[in-house]
Amino acid sequence: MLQTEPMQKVRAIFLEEDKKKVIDSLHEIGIIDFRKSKLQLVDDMPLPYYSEIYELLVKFEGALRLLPKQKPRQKFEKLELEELLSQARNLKEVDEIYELSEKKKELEQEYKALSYAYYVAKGFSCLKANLSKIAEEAQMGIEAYAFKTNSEALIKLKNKSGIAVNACKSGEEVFALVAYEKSREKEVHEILDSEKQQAKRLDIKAKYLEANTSSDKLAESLAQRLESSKKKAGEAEKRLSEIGSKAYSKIAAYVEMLHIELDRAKASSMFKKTEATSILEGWLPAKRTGEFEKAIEKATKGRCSIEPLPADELAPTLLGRKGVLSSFDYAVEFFSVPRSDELDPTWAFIFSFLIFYGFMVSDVGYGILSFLLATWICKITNPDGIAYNAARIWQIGAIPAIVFGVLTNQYFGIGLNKYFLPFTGIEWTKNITGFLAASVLLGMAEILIGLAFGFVNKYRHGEKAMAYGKLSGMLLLVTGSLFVYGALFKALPVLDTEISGILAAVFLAGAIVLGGREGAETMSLITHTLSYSRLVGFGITSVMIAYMIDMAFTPTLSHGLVVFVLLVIAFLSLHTLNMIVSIFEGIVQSIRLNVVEFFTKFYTGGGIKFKPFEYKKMLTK
Amino acid sequence: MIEMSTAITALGAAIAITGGAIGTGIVQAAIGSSGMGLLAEKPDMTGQVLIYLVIPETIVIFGFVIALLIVLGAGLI
Repeated sequence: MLQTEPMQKVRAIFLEEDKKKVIDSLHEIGIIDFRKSKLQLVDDMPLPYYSEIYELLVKFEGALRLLPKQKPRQKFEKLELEELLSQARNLKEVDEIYELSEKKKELEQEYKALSYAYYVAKGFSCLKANLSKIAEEAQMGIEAYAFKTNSEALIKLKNKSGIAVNACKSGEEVFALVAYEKSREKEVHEILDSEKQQAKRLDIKAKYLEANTSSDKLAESLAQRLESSKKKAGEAEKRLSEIGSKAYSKIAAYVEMLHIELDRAKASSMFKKTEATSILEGWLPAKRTGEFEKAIEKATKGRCSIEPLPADELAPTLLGRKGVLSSFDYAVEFFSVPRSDELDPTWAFIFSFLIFYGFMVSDVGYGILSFLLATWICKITNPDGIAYNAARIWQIGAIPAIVFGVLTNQYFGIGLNKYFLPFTGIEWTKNITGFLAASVLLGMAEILIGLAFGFVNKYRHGEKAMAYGKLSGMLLLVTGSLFVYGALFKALPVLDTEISGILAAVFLAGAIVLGGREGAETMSLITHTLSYSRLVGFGITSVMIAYMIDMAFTPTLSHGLVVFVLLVIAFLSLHTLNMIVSIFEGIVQSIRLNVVEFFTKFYTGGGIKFKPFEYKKMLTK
Repeated sequence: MIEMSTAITALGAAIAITGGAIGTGIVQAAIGSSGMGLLAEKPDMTGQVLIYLVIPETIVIFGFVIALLIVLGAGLI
């Protein structure tokens, strides 16, 4: 229960010709995490069709990205490698997606260029100018601009001698051809630059403006081309959507199959080889060694040699809790993967998290609402992601929140126990001292467990002095607490205050001297124990806020309907806000108490996560 | 009419928790901004950064405990 899964390192030697079958078989059962063998042999290579699978995978993933995004709705039968490659090479839809996408891109570029040309031609259509005939000469420059109406720059240009402006209004803008002597170019640009936002320079030599016709006629013909281009782009888009709705699931399934085959093809790069044999090594759960042996023997028809290897390196860590509890494994690994040679802190984390979270939230209403919200988040999120796992922990945490809510008589801050339960509960506001004592005792209990774990870890690693340092720390915590209790309340039930004080001093010295590099942290036993009083801090805060909301905003009809509706809105939104803050703090503080106060007593972390050679079928059968 | 001793007791409790809160805020601001900088470079350090970030919260908790002891000792709640 407190150990990570025991692991065994193994080596298998088999004929080169059986390699593909062995790989397929191991991929199916998914129990081995390959390691490169330290034998002085040649490194093996990926299987020969690796490059082809890789190219096809890139092509198919690219095609999938070009289609409108959707959720695959259909599952497909998984194909064997040769059939998969043959079908993937000839899947017409993928090529059509690339062609259509290319065409759509060209049409979009054409549409953009046509739109600009139409804008310019339409702007100058009131001048009926033939834009293709306008050209600069040696002594004279000519430029086209679109000005905002009433532009001062345009008025200034018109009033300057030696500068000719031919302008007409089109829509909200004034389109103008500005001709000037080359010697006055700087002056013209200074006027235009002074009002940059009001003068937009136009390119009358742009694509589609070269037709030898007047601008009004050109605008008419461009309008038609624009319409036709838009229609063609729409058709390409429509066809892509059609392919998407018909073939998206199929292409996605091919991507999954190609991924599986790619993993298999590159697996052999972890092997070593001789002329006729392949050698693989890896870690697997010790209890599944038999399954591994059977799979290899079946794939090679018995032409193999399998041997267990002594552990010459740190074994990978497999936590492997099932169902809802796997999210707690995720949380512990998110902080740091436990080493395989230390105690697994996850069970302790699960129990303490649930107690602390329930203690801090302790409201039946908030518990039920958070359970429903967490269930909904679990349904819409990816099971491998952080949001799903956080929601799962939150969902389980709702149960102790409800239990503590009943015990403390909190239903959205209102005491309802009297209506259906024989006891009224231990109310927060009337029992703060008791809750404070309970929180510190909970802290002491968890820190004692942490030190006990630390003792076991250090003892097993041969660091006996440090192990006894941990033991001294445990005894210091107990005797020190008894001493403080006796000094404050003069009533020690089990030990004289003076004796407990002397013992605490002895154990303090023991913890510091024996603790080595960790001895200096002995004093943190006091701060860490007191730190658990935050359970009361956050608990009472949530309760008091809920209490105040109820006092000020409980809906009543005595002031009319409008006031009633406003009170309902305020009541609900403030309770929702309080619930969110309370739940968020509950999660963060519960994790913090475990990670900072508990884990630091024993946890090393930095283990290697067990990553078996396996695959998940989502879209194939 | 509230007695002067009651008011001073309440003020003492308020100062205890306010001081703790301000201290925590100042320290967390510095750790938080440095932590975000580190995470931009090394996102896998999230766990460690989180620990450093929440360590100073103990200061405000001590403030809370002291405030609670003051008001409980004076019989205000």
